[in-house]
Amino acid sequence: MNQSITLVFSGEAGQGIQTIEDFLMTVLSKDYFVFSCSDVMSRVRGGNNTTEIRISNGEVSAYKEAIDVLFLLNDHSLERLKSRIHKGTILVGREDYVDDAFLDAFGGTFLKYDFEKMAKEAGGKLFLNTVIFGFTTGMLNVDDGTCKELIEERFSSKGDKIVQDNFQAFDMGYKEGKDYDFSLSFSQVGRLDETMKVLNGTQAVGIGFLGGGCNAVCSYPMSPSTGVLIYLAGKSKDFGVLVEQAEDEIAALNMVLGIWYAGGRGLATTSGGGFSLMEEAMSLSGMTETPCVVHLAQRPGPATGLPTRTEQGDLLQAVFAGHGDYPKIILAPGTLRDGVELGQRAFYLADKYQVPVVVLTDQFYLESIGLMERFELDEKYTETFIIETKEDYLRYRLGEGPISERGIPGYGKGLVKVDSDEHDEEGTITEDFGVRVKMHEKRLAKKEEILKDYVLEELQGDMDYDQLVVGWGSTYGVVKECLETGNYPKTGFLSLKQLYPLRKDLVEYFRKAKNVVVVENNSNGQLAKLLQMELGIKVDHQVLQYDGAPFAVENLKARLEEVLR
Amino acid sequence: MKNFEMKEGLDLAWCPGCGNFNIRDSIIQALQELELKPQNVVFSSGIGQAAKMPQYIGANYFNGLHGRAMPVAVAIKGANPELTVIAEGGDGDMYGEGGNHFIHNVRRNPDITHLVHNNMVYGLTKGQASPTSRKDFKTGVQINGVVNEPMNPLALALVLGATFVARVFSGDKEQVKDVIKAAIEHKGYALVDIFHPCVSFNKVNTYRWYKEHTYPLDGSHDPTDWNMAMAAAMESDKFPLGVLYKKEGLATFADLQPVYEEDKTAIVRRKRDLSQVNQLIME
Repeated sequence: MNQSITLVFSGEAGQGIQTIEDFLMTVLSKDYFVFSCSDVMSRVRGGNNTTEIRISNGEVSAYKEAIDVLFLLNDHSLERLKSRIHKGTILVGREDYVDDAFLDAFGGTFLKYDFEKMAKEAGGKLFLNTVIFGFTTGMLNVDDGTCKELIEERFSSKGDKIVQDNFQAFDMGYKEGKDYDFSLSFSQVGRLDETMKVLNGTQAVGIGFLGGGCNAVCSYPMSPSTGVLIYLAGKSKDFGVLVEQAEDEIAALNMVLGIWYAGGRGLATTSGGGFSLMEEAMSLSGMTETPCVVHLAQRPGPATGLPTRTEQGDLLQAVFAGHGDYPKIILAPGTLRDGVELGQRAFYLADKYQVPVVVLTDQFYLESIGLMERFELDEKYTETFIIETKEDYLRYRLGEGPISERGIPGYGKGLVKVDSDEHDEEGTITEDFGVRVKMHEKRLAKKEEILKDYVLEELQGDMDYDQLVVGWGSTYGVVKECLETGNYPKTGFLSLKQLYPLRKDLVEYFRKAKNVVVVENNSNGQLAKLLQMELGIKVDHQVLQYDGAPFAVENLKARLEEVLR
Repeated sequence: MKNFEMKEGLDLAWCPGCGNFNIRDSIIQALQELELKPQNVVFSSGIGQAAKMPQYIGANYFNGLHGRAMPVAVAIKGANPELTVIAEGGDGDMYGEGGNHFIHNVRRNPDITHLVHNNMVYGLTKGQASPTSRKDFKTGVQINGVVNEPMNPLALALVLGATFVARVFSGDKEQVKDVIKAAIEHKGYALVDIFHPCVSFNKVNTYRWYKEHTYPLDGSHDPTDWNMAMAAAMESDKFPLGVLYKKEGLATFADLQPVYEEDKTAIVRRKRDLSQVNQLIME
């Protein structure tokens, strides 16, 4: 059985908690499985932010509510986190951050350390995160040489003095942490860094998009999708990516269509509100058969909702995006590897079928950091489908099936004419009812072709199940952990990676099950509705959560116990 | 058949007497005189009678959505700087629905030509006010007459840093052709605001009205003088025609993209090396 310990760092925005997270994840991932996620308030400074790090001797990729070690970095951290503390929790922080009355009732361990004072002694407030990094690694008995190598690597560009000052700050924390004899109840796995890479979901999909040949990104910043824009901008020169911050999301997706029309591979990255503005251009992509890829990073709505929190509330928006009927593809990664693979596949599928492809992620998926086994991307999905045109080229030639050959301007002797009105084979506006029906049916017929390239679902758990738990996207890790650590007989876990169109054979999974439970991080049961609408599948129970937080292992377990035998 | 002309018997959607016919002739002649290859010319247009223009010219086109021609055009040029890109539409399309894109794309200084047919009325939807309609212009919607100030696209473009600003009148085919040629040859963003009458829905701003309310700029106008251009753009008693402003030598949208800093090859012709991406996973 896997064992794990949960550390939480709680403080204000601007105190450097993300640096602590980055450093700890880097050093701990050499010897343990690790996972981290954050709860951040929508403000630039102040507030109360937390970062949770789980250390385990087995794969872990879910949020846990119960805290084992809580680092308090200000006087109002505890108030928000009281409900997550148990008898065995170790509190660490300045004496006055915990009031006596609470301490008496709590009855657990409180390690009183004044990290701020130590930071000041080391040279200033800026060293707070290095002191805490030192303390934590001392406490966990991590090799200090490894930690210092990391400090040197991160700070060497700022000069030797900065490195030395950070060493000093680290040592101060490390020494104190060592004094507190805390040993994990499980042993190191060891040498994980040789086969595993530490990354977050943003980087995973970013790498995937590059693997798919993405050579342009046009977007308007919106949390939590902006990370992908920043990631690709950082790769702009090395990987040949044109980057434009558009004036709005309407411009962004229209630009992306211009990129594809000209022969590039464009991406728009946005969140639910921005995607609403892009729907007009989604429809344009459908009508003109101009491919595009949109990364839709979900967060709670409606409207501005909870800008920094998580939800899976935009599935149906994506399914119904835009006016009129036209085919589209929706993919949703559950694991980090999915992010890389589906990011690449999105571009391949868009190009091959000349349709819009939406990659659905969410705040929790993008900003959580975990381990991914290293692998090489599949060359197969780098294929491109642009043709050199002949003089008599017709963009929308009928009689060749739903996919007409796609030319681009300036490559070949033909002219490439595309139109948002209903059009004839050449791309000229028409009001001929007969042509309308033929063109419309040609576009709609792509759906069957797309299903031949279906991104397969994953089934795990008991293969001889009679109960089936179904999930999509970022709930993958938590459902997996619940089923692995809970006691649910004859239960399988089906996670879907392609959410639209859905392949008809999926019904076979449901035929076998006497009890179907769908787990979703939204209020509406959007996947359940889609399964019903597309495949006529009846769902017995829905486990939904929509408070802006990801499912916690303990909570989901309790909810599953209510509906699983 | 000469380049950019199309087969006889085209079913043109414009009303008899529409200024668009003249503009079409001028564009085709400009493209022919510049000896451009139709395969390398792309029109990006939106919705409206003016935006139908690419349908009637033998070149590539992306006829997209209302107001969205500019972002598409800028992206096409960014993806493949070797193409000649022209964004075309009416005053409602470009200044109304596409107003935000107009503002921000002027700032980008993309190397595209922006042709706006300005007839001061919404023709496709049968006669409502447009952003350039004059005050007191009565329509079925503006029953007491337009109360909003008319938009001044030339002054706005100048303020935003446009590097080529011109106004022509479709009644003078030769002038329209010459200015469009200069706009296409200009390296950078080039706005050509084309006055022309809507014979069906604008009974105020007629051929005669435009004749009486315009005058050609003469040799005393220095198009390299921004202040002089701005003064000309602000005239509204009689509107000056010709190239108001022209500034050469500024970097364009594509020039300033980091992706083109060292490698000038169009991104559409570059091949991605997958091993380079795999390295991101291995590192």
